[in-house]
Amino acid sequence: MSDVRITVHPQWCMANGACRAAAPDVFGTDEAGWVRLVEPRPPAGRLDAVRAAADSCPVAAIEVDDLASDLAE
Amino acid sequence: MATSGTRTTEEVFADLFGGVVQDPFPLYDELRETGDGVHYSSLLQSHFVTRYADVRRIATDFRTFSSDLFDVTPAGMHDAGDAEHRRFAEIAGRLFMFADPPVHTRIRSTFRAAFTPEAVERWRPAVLDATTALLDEFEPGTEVDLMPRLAADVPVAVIASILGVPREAWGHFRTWSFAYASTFDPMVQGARRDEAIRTSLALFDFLADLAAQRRARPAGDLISTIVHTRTDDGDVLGEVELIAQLALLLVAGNETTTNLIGNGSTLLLDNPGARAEITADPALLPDAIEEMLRIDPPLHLTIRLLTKDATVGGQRLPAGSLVSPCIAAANRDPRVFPDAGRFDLHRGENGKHLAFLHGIHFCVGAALARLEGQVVFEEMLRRHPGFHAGTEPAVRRTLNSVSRGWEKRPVVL
Repeated sequence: MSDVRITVHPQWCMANGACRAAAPDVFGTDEAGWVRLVEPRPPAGRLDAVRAAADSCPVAAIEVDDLASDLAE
Repeated sequence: MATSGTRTTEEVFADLFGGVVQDPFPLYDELRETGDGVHYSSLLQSHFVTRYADVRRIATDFRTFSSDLFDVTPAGMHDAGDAEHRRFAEIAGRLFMFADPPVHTRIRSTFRAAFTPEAVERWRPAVLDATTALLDEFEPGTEVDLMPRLAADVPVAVIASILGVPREAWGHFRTWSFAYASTFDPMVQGARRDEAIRTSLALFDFLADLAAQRRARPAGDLISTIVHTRTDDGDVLGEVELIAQLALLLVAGNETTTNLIGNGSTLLLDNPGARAEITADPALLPDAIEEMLRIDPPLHLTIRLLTKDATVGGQRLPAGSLVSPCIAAANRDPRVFPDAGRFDLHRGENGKHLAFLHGIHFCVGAALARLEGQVVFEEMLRRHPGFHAGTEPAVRRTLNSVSRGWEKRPVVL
């Protein structure tokens, strides 16, 4: 189980495909081709790939929040 | 060059925006490496931001750094007492680049589908046609200036073709497009601005007529798509909104792509090793274009308005402040790009640069710009693999500090 919250914003997506390349098990597309979160709770071993996907999205349509640090705040 | 120890940042800005300095990059380096890389410019009345992390954060955090600021941009300068100026500002102020969500999201939703990497592939034949028609006029062994004869014409021909502008109107369309683009140039003032605004209104009227025709009879072109695409709230764009976005496709796509072609040609001339690699293996072209966009981006500066107090660099700035993120300075930040001044095809970090910006305002036409770059350079290198610098000197444009490129780029084919 992961300790992050992944949020996608399909309304900003421009179908650049970087997220699907970085983490195809976590990010897919809806019928129109915009980003869809297919695995909201990826295993801990996939978090680097998820963060890489978020970082490579040109429109910043993927947010990865660290729940542990949320609690600390 | 004098270091920051011997002169003030205001003096560096005076050079940068004075219209004389040919190469702004040493000045960007100086500003980036002085203090926290954020410096107030009284000329811009804005905080000039030079480091990659700061530029990217400002672009991404649209809630703190608003784009709803047409009235304070050069494009928004108009005389409210003049009816033509007022009408111009009413339309031009609706560009979605000058909007925040939800307005921005609603407008962008009508044409983002047409500009995905997959969707723009259908325009490859149009790009190739436009490019080959221009290159066919060049004789091997002759000297030509690439700027007016290739760099400026390809993007206009491409956008006219994909929008669905009838071929007999392309000449006018080209003139109107350049006039409208010039309204974004802070140096275009007085009678020149009056003229640019009047000519822009002719463009707006032309686009309105074309949109009305396509509403009545769809023709499979981009205007037909946009007038019939529902927004994310299920409506269609209003008339003024629509004209503004169509005009934006011209102003945002033409001069920038012209700069990509001119800057990229120059980088090929200046880097014979990289060029030999690309010529031998055109599959390297996509990487080459990303590196061209990084090291010499077509657009250097953008601007944002603080909606609340925020820290930028090491400084606390109050709500209402303006910041000017400098893409060209960020793209050579050594904190992110080692040996940042070197043209390197093998960085392996494609797309990390900020030439198209980042976040919700990321260039909607990026995939088309990349396609145009690939087709133009592939054709150029295939037909004229030995092209070299001409006898006439190359001349940089110096008056426009936002969109920098070449005025003249003579080459011998």
